[in-house]
Order: sequence, then structure tokens, then C-alpha cells
Amino acid sequence: MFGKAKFDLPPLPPELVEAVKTAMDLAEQQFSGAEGAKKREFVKGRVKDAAKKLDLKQLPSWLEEPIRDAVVSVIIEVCWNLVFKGKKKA
Amino acid sequence: MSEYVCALSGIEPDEDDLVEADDGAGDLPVGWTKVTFQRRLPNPRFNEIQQAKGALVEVTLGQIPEEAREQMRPLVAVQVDAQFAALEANTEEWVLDEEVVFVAPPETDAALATEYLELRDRFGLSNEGFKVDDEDDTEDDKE
Repeated sequence: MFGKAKFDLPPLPPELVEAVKTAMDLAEQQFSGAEGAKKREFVKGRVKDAAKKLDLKQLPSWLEEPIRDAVVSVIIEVCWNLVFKGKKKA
Repeated sequence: MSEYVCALSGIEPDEDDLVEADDGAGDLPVGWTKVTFQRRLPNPRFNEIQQAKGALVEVTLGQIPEEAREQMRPLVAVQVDAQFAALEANTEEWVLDEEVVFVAPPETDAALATEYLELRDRFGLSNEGFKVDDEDDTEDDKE
């Protein structure tokens, strides 16, 4: 009866994930002994630019920025998790 | 212009008719009726957040090797929930649409009384105790 919002997000561009991985490697080199939070902040700053290329035009405009921020944070957390999981297994 | 204008007849109360009472009806004049329509509706923004969360989980999982996707789904969902927690907390799930109208005392005018009683009747409210003065009724009404 009351219409639900209906929209999809475009697939994340592979460059975004690559940018996260590159920034993570850089963070490891530059802040090797530092806390994870500091490294995350560094990575986030680097990846934000790459996230600007995300095409979110089909989204409600008020959601564009929150989504862009969320994409960056979520993808960083997921990559972080995958990398550490990989390292632990190794 | 007074806050109170009869929605059926357009008349306004005299200043002297306003009543100061502590009963939650403000200074509603004596004999006047306050009608409040409240309609609860889904907040479109809240729905959009839910849709965005679901879509973000899916596109993020799309970046994860297929064999690890289902294992990673709870982690991704938690991360997405966390990212939207503040926005969600500041967005009501429902919006309450409210409209208020007033009706002058039906005892003041026979035509107004008829309309007033008809409205109450249609809403299933009892009209017991109300008396409509028949003096102004037309011949048709009497038949």
C-alpha cells in the first residue's frame, strides 16, 4: 500500500578495492607499530578520493554522502578483516 | 483572525467565549468541538535507509571472492549497520500527519447542527443528548 524505496547501488569499481589495498600496504609501512585506528584513518583519507568516482546519481540525493562514507568505511573494514584473517591463517 | 474558525460554518467565537482551563484543550471556547485527525505513515527516508543498507551489503559482498561471501555476510551486515546507526537513530520510522479542525457549537444554528450530527453519525458516534431545533427546516425536510 505504501511504496517502498526502490533503488540499487552500482557495483563497486575494482579501483576502489585496489585503492584500499594499496593504502593499507602504505599504512603498514608508514605506521607499522601504530594502532589499527590510526592506520584506518590514513587509509580512509586516501580512499575517499577514489570513492568520489562512485556513480550514485540514482540514489536519493540526501543519501549520496552518507552512502559514499559508508562504502569507504565498510570496504576498509572488510579488506582489513580479509587481510588479517589471511595473515592469521598463514 | 481567531485560532478558532468553524470548519463547517466559517464563524469565529467572540473573544469572551475563550475559556482558560487546565484540561489540555487550550482556550477552546465553550461548546466548540476540536477534531484531530492523526494519520501514521511510513517515513520515506527511513525506508530509503533500509534499502541503501541492503544494497550496500550486496555490492560489498560482490567484491569478496565467491567462496568467502556467505561467511563474510554477517560481518558485512554488522559493518553496514554500524555505519548507518547514527543516521537511523535520527530518522523516525514513522511520521505522524496531524490536522486539527474546529466546529462551532451546533446549538447555535440548525443547519450546522444537522451537518454536525451527520458527521458524528458517519463516524459511528452517538448523537444522544443533542437536540436540533426544527424551526428552520424546509418543507422537504418535514416530509
